[in-house]
Amino acid sequence: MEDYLNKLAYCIEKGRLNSQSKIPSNMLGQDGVEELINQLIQLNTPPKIIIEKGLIKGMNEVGNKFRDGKIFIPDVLLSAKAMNYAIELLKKEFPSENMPIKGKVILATVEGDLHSIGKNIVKVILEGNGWKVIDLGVDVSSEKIIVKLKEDEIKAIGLSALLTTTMLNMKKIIIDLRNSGFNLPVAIGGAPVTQKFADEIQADFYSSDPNEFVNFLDKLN
Amino acid sequence: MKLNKREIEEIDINFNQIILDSSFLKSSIQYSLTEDILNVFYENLFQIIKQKSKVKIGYSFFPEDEIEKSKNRIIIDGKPLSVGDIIYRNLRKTESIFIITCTIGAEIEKIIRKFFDSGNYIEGYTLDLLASELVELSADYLQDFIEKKFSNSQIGFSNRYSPGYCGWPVSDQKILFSLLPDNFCGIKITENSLMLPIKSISGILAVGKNINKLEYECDICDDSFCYKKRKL
Repeated sequence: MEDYLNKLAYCIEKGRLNSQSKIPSNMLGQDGVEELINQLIQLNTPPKIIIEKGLIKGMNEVGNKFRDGKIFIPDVLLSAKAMNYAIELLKKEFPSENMPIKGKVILATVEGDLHSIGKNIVKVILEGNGWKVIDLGVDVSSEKIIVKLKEDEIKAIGLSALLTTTMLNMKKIIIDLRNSGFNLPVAIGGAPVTQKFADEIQADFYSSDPNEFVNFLDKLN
Repeated sequence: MKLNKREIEEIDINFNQIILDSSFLKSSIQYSLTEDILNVFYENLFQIIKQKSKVKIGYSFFPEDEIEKSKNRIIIDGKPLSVGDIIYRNLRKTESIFIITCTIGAEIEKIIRKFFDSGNYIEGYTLDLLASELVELSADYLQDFIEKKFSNSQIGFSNRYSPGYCGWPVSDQKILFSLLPDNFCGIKITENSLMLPIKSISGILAVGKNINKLEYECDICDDSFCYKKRKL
């Protein structure tokens, strides 16, 4: 069983979905996430063990390598896709089991800005690490965020902007949230954003590395 | 051609005029993708971008009598562009200006969104890279087109400079577009100075007897977040 779990962690890290996958090229024809999960199920491995010792172990490796500059965003996206694929397979096999969700996070590109690629990358990585993302899309006002906060139990908010003009709207959103009595953590990111700017607008967290955002969120639990 | 009166032109460009062969775009994004990923996804995405992009380029030329210069500002037809000291250093000897725009249209952006929404992240990410590269190559094509059309032995052309880069505030985008007809090249400006379609480029080219292109333009700028620095 241990061998299968290690192989599963490796396939998550490499983004290998199944034996038909063309990535990575040096594993052509070999088992992927799908086959390994099936083998683990046949060995009566509890889903909790598959998740902890296979999936999360693989994603942790991805986070470490990304932090150390050994892999890059496309590699992380492939891993996150494999992680989501694995979770869907487990949900089908164990419909009565609750898949572990660490909490819900709102992601939004701020009002006035329509760039979504950065937000989407963060979304994929958060979901791959067990967080449920409420994606409010682009051009999002503080009013829209506040409506969602009233409807749902949200642990944190992530705001994105790509322009120096629109990143100023992050400040407005943080002020509006605090004035409306919502004191949950707000993280910010995007090409023009810096730690200095985050400090100025009293954001709770900033990083250019989405995996650091995962670490920040994990500490909230 | 003579450069002594205002002139404006919009042109639809065939994809094949910019991208000479399918590997051309591939080699230009190799810096950000591993070979594995490129090989698996590239051909399909290349066909999508080839079929769905609608490249449009345009320029408006402003002759010498419509240009003024003051400290760190280029004033065109009475409208001041606060280009900042980094760009101004290279443009202070300009005699006339081309405002340039290009876009690859809005369709690709929708397809990128669909890829992400359907869980095909790497396809969405790669197509976004290809689209960004295509719009850059379209701007290169436009620059080359202008230089060929208007070149003569008396004048030189500068590099192109855009709001949002090298210290020129992106908010000046509105002033730049106020110097162009509405919906020029099909591009609109939002309240926050964002161009729509998103995969569009605007900027200026300076022209004059004492204007030269800089070989290593990034050496003049210290913006560590700029995408051009990441490519170097």
